[in-house]
Amino acid sequence: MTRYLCKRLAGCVAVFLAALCLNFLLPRLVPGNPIQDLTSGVGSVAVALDPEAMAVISRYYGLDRPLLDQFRSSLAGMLQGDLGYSIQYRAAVSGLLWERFPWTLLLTLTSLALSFSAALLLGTRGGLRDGTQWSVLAPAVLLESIPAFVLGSMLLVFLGVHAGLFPLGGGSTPFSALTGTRKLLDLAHHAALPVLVLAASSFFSFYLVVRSSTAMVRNEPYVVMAHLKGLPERTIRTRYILRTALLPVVTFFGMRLAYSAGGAILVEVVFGYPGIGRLTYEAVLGHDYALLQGCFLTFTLWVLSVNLLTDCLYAILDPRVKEA
Amino acid sequence: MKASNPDPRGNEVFSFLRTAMIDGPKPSRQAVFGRWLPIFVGGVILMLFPGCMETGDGAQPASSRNGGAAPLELRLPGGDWGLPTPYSFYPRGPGYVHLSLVYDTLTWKDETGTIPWLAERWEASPDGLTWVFHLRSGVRWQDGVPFTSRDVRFTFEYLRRHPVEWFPVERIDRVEIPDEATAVFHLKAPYAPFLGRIAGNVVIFPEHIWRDVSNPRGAPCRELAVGTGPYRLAGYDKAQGAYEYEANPHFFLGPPRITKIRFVPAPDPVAALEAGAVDQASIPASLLPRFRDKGRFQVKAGPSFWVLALQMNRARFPFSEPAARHALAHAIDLRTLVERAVPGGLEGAKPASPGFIPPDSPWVDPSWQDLYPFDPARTRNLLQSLGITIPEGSRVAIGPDGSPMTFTLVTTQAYLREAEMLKGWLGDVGFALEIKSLDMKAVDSAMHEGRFDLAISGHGGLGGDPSAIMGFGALKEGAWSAQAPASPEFREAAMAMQRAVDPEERMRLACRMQQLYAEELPALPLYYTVSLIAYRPEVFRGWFFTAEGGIAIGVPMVLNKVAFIRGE
Repeated sequence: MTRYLCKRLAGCVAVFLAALCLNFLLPRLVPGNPIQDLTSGVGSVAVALDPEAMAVISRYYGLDRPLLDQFRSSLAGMLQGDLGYSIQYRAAVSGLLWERFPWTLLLTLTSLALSFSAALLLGTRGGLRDGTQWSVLAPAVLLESIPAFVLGSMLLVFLGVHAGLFPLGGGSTPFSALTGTRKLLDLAHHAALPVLVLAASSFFSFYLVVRSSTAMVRNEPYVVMAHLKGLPERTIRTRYILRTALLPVVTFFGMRLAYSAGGAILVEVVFGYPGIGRLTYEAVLGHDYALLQGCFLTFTLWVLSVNLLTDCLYAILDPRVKEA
Repeated sequence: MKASNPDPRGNEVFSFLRTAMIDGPKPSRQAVFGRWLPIFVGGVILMLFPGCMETGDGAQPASSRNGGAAPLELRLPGGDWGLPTPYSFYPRGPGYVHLSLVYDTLTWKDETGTIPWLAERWEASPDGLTWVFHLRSGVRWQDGVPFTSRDVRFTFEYLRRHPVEWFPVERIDRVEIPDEATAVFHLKAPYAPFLGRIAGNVVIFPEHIWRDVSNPRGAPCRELAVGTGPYRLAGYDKAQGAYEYEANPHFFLGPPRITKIRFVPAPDPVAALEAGAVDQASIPASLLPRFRDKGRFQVKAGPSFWVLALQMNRARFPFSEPAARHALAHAIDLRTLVERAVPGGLEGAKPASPGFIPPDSPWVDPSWQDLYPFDPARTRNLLQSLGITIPEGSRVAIGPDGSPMTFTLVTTQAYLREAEMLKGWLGDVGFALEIKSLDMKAVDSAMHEGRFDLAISGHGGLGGDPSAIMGFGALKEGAWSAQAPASPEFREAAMAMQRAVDPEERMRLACRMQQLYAEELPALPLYYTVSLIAYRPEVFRGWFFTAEGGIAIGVPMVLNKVAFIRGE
């Protein structure tokens, strides 16, 4: 098992190093640069900067140095916990990420927990029975096929604007004096629609995996043998069927969890949710190199740690992995 | 799939599942839903509940917020534009608007033009090198310390040491303060747009707070947001882009009538306006009938000082030839373009003038508006004069060297309709266009680096002083905007306009620049968009569009602090 985990860990480190290089290069490959963006005539009024002023600002932010030199400084800063300075936000990148990450975490974990629980509940029931659960499948297919941002916009219009049941944006009521339970309720009220949209868009895949996995395992010879031995139904379901059926589900959950942070970008933009997804979107628009690197680094660490965690969990659940 | 024998030690992993879902023999559908439905419904109620309870900050009706009497509180669409201090605001129009609520400038503008602000009067020397400002007495910073001319001198000296791109102070040689109520600016060279671009734009910040700040671009803190302005920053939520401003009771013109302004998160400001979460929002022209016909909203239209133009690469044939650029101008029907391509048609935009300056600018010379009427026959003649002909049986023209007149037109997704219409018109005169849709920044970048044939791109700021407009005027002595006319005469006129102090002479030069622009036609202006706002008149009806091109250097937004101070 230790060997297995060491191998996985080494893989993660290699991927991390490669990702660091890509994170540095990708934003710089996009046409334009953050200084040019400062004086861009596109969008709201900007100042007209002459080439000399642009050169001065470029020098101030160290963007005139050779790329390798910039990469070296970026790595050195990262080792000291300094992720650079966001030109667009006029603030340290690490501070911005710390501020925004918990919001994304709240959104993605809640939505995954919701869709995962619903899929487990309905998927296992479906898998243990013959026939198709159209009452679940039909709406699930529909929700899966509607892009999350379209579904989000629809909910926002009907439930937010017309019905007035939900706030139209943000993560909480700004400058309110709410505390304790009321604060929590306020957070839940603001997160409700984005969580529902994210949960709806991931439910179908979860449901299918759980259902097919359960259906496959329930016909395995050892399950039939358990029935023949006269074991209680409850024992057969929990110890024989569900436990084995959950192995691919755990892997799939890991994959969805890793994907979820990136998947929340558009939903955060639609709902004006103050998470890291919206921050990334804005950083892309503003060509904010340091901020983009910081966001990408967060996603990289998120994906790698979730994958590693999934591998560990898999090793615990499946003895064959340990033996390997 | 071959499953292994399950490990009984992992039971605790599934304990929650056992109890939650599959405990007991085949639970019936009713049983499962009977168990879970209350939890689900409870969860939904929990999420909805805050909407029903009094949060102390919910979207209350305007009448209850303002007691149905004099307006007191405004809610506006938010967005993060930085902490409103001179070194942490984002250098864009909305960022400056936030800054202007907390800080003041020497002069300001309302709907009539430039008005006294921190300075109650001023005069310039005949040579334009010296500007004397007589400051208002009794002005105090928001922390109670008196404002004096020392703060003015400090601001400009500090800005020279720590430049901010929005504040062009490099033209100032020195600031003298003969007494506490007078500031004398000595310029290195005459700079006619001084009032608009410096006195009415550079915010004055307090010496007693900033003198010990050695790194103003370091971590910004709220304690630095102290100005003389009508509003005090009471709250700032960077992550949500929310601001709360409270009226400064000691403001030098008296307490502002609007006592509180809140910028709240509103990813879709129009939806937020409809839902009552904000009291005013910009609306697209396509939604004009919807808001105009609803009694609870009023709509106001004003200039946006924004132009969409067809950029032509003057380094490539045939666009290097003025006759070819004129030919293109004759081939395009601007009025039809606006009617068919712009949402809202002629209510959403106005056909542009080849002289570049929009009709709402006080500097406009309307005589160039119809210089290039829609006339395809004339286009063909002009092209023939350059040796560009359409061979028999072909739809694509060929140049004097036999090369086909096929070009790429780059634009963004937003202007594909305009691009398609241009493709049709230019196709009729033998120019075959391939439209390439790129990201906004990629179009900007392609133009910046000269990697394009034709491009459709737009920009704002046209309301400012013509001698300093992006793509039209001169940026600085020796520095030239790549999109402006290249002729030495135009450049001299722009530089002369920056130096000239006499208003009549300045107007003459502005007209001359428009004439030269229209004749050289480095780019073909297509249309100027119209800025539209919808608002709730029962909350606040004092919105106006600022004269002389917009707030400060030309921010065409209605969020002018003068409106909030008056509170009509």
